[in-house]
Amino acid sequence: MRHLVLAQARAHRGRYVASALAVFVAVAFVVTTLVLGDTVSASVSKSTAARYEGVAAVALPVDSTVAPDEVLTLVATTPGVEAAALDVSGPVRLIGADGSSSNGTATSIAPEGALRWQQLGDGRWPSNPGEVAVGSSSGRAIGDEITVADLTGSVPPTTVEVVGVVDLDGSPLALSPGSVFVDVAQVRSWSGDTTDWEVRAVGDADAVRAALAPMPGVDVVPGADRATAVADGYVGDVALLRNVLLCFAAISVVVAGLVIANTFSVLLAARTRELALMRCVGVTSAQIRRSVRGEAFVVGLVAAVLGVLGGTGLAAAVVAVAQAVDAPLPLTSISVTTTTVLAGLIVGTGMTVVAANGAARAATRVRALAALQPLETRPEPVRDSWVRRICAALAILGGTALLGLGVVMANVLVACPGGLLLFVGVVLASRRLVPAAVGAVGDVLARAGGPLAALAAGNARRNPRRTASTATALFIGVTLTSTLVVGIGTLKGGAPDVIDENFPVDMAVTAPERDGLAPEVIERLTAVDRVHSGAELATVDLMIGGTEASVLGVDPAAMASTVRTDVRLPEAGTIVLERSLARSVGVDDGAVVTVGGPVGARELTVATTEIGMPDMIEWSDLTAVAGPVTADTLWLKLDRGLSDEDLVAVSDDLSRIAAAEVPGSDVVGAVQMRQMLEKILDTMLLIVGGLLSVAVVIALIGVGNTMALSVLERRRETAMLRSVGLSRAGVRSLLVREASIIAGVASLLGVVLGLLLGAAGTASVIGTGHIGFGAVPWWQLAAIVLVGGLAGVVASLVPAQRASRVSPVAAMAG
Amino acid sequence: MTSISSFVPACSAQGVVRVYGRGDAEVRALDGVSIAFERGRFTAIMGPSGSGKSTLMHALAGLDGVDSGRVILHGDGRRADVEISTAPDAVLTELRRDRIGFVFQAFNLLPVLTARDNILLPMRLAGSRPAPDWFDEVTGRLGLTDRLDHLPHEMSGGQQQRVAVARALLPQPDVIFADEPTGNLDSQSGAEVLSMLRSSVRETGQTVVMVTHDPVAASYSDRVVLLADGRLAGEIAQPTADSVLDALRDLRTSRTVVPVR
Repeated sequence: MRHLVLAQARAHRGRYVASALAVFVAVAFVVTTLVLGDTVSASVSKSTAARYEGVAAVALPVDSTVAPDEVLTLVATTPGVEAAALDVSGPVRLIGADGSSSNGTATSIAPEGALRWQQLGDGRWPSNPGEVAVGSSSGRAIGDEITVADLTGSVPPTTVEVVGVVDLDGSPLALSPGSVFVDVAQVRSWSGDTTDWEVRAVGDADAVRAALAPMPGVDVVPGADRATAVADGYVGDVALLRNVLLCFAAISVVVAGLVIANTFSVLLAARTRELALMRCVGVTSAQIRRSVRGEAFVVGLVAAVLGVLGGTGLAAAVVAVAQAVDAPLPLTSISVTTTTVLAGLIVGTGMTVVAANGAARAATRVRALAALQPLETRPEPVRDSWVRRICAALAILGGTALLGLGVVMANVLVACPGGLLLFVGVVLASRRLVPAAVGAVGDVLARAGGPLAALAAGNARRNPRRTASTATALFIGVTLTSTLVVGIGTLKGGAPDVIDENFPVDMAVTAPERDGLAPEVIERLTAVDRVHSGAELATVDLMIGGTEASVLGVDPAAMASTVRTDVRLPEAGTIVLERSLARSVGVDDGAVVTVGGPVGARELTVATTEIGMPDMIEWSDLTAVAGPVTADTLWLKLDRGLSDEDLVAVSDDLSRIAAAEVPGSDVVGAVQMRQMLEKILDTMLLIVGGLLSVAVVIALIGVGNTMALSVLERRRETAMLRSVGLSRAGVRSLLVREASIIAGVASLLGVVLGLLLGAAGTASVIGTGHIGFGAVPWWQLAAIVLVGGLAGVVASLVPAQRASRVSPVAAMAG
Repeated sequence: MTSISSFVPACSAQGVVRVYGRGDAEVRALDGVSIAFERGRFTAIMGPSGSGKSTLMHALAGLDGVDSGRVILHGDGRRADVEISTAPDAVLTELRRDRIGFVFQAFNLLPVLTARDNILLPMRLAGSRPAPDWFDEVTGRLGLTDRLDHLPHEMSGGQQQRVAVARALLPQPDVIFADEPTGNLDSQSGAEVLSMLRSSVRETGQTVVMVTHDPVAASYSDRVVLLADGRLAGEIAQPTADSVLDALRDLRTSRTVVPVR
């Protein structure tokens, strides 16, 4: 039987090209994801291991009471320790030439010798306080100037020059482009209390442990353990990202499975006579089933092997490109594990065999008698199991109910599984939905488009199961893509309202230091064109009924004319507390609480506000408890009815002044929030859309495949059409029309469901009130349907060409 | 009786040669065949397997090319003569819509179209419509009036074949080519189909050329042309089943006596 299987697979290999291609793409996707994940993990582990190479023991702080220098001195002077180094790192703010600030990390350069893990890629090591080295993924060059500030603004920002570039190939530090390398003292001066530290020691680990034993708050671990722990911290994030990518790979696998199932059922239908003949000569149905499975196994294995190779190649290309452009990714030598190879092979082969199983079972139902009868021209009936129908109905009803509930409750955690359930239900019901939709569309086209349109519509309807699975493969990708497009479009449309609502003020300028905004700066900022009014605020830490909290000191009159939304403002003798803070202090609205500061205390009446609103105290009350304070924050109200361009212009003006006058200051406003959100959403759309496009491409291969198989199956019919006067162009157009009906209907259904899911998803996040139909990206949806239909046309061009070459003589053969 | 002077050809072949394969595998399927088919007559082409009868029909109908010689579809004053053997595909496609009709052994109908749509298909492709009473006459004569809205799989084999005959008759083509039209039918349905072909020739002057290996089917025709080894081997006017059988037997006997290279 085995040589028969191989002979079959060989004889029909042309017909398996499309299925193999589908398996190939899906397996390559899986393998690329796994290889890149492994490569990142391996690179991180390798570079981390290099840092702890030869390190016998690492001393770590358990709490903040320990002085790192004492630990270093103690370790360094312990007999048996050959070398010891104190490493510190902490967060900093990097301020660019345009005043923009970003987060970064300052890391100490280890002392020269065995313990220095950083390697200089270019330039030299910094030798005085005005110099730094940067990471190779920073995008900065030697000679650049960077202004570095601390997070809290307690020290003045310093401007430093880049003199060296540290090679971060494979290091997790490469992920953050804001790495700067300086000496220990400089790191501490920038990061202060937030500095992390550890002491690495080469030599006798037991001696280190013994020496530090009397010191409380210090933990000593072996160097190798520490290396693993550090690497694991990063690898956990990598694993999460990899698993998200694998979800998209799984979608591609499912779609490829549909394409394969279709191929096998069509090919076996075309071979009914051959199978019947095998039954006639005594082959058992079990042997037939095994033979079909064997054929699937061979096809799947060949495609999976190619997929593993292709996926590995793609991953290698990604690594090469990432290294060539110094991308902020820890990628060094490529890591292909046995697990990855096995996973690729098992997914590809297993998926093919499972997908072909239905066809294999159907093949065993072929009776020997069929060899002696003419082939049926009867349209294939739709057979659905009761289980499938009930599951579909339950999933659709349950999913719709959950989705509705999620929208009403504005809870995305309820809406999300609801949407998923609804989607699965529709996919399960596609054998009924798709033929019905194809029928409806076909009727319209047939009435409008003449005999060819009628024929194409009829053909599209004639194998409901085949049409349904072809369309479903495309439908899955289109639904997910349009859900994303609609979800992000409506979110972008509704977000400004939501941001405005949660943001009580148009713009806010915050100084890096708490006594930062000089009166003349405030004057310049409020004088900017299109700024309506401003209010000064001071941030002060006060004791409220025994709880320390950061409170804003405000002038109620100025605030009233500046804040846009209805914010509860304090008057003399009251303090406004957010409800959650009031609860933790243990007071309620109207209660009296003691508020204490550096110079005194006062009894104030509590006024509570919604969660998310600021805690505020009246200016005179503030000075009474905290002494004279200077404003560190300026809230600004802009003129009404400004266009988006005006808003950007104002915000740019304010940013420029603030950056010049108060380096390191923050200028935030609803505009920035909105722009930031839009940027994040656009990036997400691009990435997820790209990942989903793999599934769409596989589905389009499926459309071409189904058409190609239909061409084979309808050879004589095509010949007959040619013999009654259909031109070659007519034959081509017939196929193309059929494919575009199937692809168009799949895209249309997908877009309709995507519209529903996307809109419901957004509604469950930001509430129904903020979604207008104007925010739905209609033209993008129309483009998806159009592109889906057109792609169907493109996918069917090759089969159509082949069909047009069928000679009319083929109809004559008895 | 046919006289030479009144013989009006519907289509003709002149010295047609068709060779398949090369070298040792070379087969001369048609080896210099010259023949004309009379307008308004029912002609049967017969011969043993491999005699070239199907190849001749394919060449006459423009379904397959020829290596030398000419094939001509003759006009009738309204329509021009066309040299089939050199016409490009686009011209042949046009011809098949209204000047050449086909009836095949099996798989004659499109499964997705009703009987009516199948019958009308060639005319619709040509962008024309039949006169309503002509459509009614053809379908009525073939006994299809109450079957017109059925799909092929809802009809018997005989009914399907009558639909195919109706489709061929409707555009009133210059010639209808029938390739073993009764090959898949039981004898009664076959007889019905053959009677209808013959009556369309007698009553409306339709020209029919039929390839068959069944002497009974051939007996419905006005003239039988015999082919052997790619050459004409004789003909029988006003054939009966017996005269055809005898002629075929003679053909086989002569082949055993005179070996053909």
